Amino acid sequence: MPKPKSILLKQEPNISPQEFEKIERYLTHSMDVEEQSAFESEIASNSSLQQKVNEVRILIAGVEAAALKDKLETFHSKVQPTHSAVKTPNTFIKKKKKNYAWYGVAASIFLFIGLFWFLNKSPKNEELYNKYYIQDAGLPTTMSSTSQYTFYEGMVRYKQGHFQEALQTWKALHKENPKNDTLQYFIGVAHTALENDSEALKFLNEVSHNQQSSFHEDANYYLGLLYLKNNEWQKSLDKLKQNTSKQSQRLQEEIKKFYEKP
Amino acid sequence: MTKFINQQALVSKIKLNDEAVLKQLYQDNYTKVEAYVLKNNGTMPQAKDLYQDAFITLWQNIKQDKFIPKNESALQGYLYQIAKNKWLDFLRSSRYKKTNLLRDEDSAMSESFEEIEKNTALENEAKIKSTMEAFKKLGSSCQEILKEFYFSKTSLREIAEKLNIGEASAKNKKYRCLQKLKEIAQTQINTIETRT
Repeated sequence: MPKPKSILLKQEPNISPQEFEKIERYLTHSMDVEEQSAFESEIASNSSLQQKVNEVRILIAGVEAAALKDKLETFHSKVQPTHSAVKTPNTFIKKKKKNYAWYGVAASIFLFIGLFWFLNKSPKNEELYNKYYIQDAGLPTTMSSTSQYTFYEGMVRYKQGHFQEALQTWKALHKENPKNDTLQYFIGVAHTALENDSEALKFLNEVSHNQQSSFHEDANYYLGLLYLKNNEWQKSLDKLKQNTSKQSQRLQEEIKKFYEKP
Repeated sequence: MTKFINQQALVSKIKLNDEAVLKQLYQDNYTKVEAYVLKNNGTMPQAKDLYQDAFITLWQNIKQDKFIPKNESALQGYLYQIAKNKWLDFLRSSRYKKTNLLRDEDSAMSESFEEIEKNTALENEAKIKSTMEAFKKLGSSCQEILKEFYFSKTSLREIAEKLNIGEASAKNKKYRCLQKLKEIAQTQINTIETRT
């Protein structure tokens, strides 16, 4: 039977409790100077002992690192709000945050296009969708007056990518304030991120019909993308026209170039 | 915390796994690393994973006396540098092939850091990671006793009191738990080897 060539913890003679205790005392610096130097010279002349020391060192280091890793999770839970406070504000056009998931989607769509190009030319819309879809960066969560606390709690979740949880928080608020355009908008973009397209359309259209809303343009941009994804490019253009950003103009041009061919 | 004279003190406290110090160091330096990752095509979950990875590396290097602070913000700078190098490694890796995306002004510096990193820590790091994985598979009572003793530096006597057992039994239990951990780590490696 071939012996597995292990890099770690070879099935060497087991370390006895007594031996282990000594090694441990050495590694945790619990030996006095004399004992330590005696032990060190023993290690130097005994390769089996050397291996055992290394083995125990790695075990202990692994335990400590695993314990630290657990701690880091708790440290991190308190880091988030601070971080959100310094995030850039709601400028989804400027912010070029890339999401690897979308690269994956884009890649698979690319493959799809390659395979079915001759049968079906519609994947262009998805390609454009992926190219122009940028998740809304959310609102800065610096202010935390108690009345809006719940909303910003949702925002923190949203920024962490926990869209489902953000939605739960916001939907509860939405029940109380069904006309609030901020809620409508962010519920809409969270649904967009989750690809609940029909829900997203419902909420974003509310905002789109509200000319006064400060989210009016942004909502129209996402609506444009959603309609495009759904192959309704006329509707898509109608919505995109209501967003004056360069990004939107570029997308409109690409759509026209592709769909309005003579 | 950021004063030079305190850097040495900081290092010794980190060696003792002082939780308050670790926590502050962790929380004080996260934003900068996150900003770097986000600026360089990363996502927030990636930033978090990377940062925790870098933080553990920093802590391990401190424990192995591989890092000696030379100025008042040395530790913080070192942490940032480790994180940055790890991110550069990731961007260059096969998982992310657009290698020319990131050629920043620091690449010369990161090169030398990279060498140090690679030569010293890489081999042990892999072994430790495998032990960390094995640790997750240990029973919770074993996890607890090992964490208490090795990370929190709780004495065997206190652990024995908590568990309502004798000190000798606690010691024995700790030994057996570590043996168990070793076995799990060993099985993992054997599994990987038979698969490859």
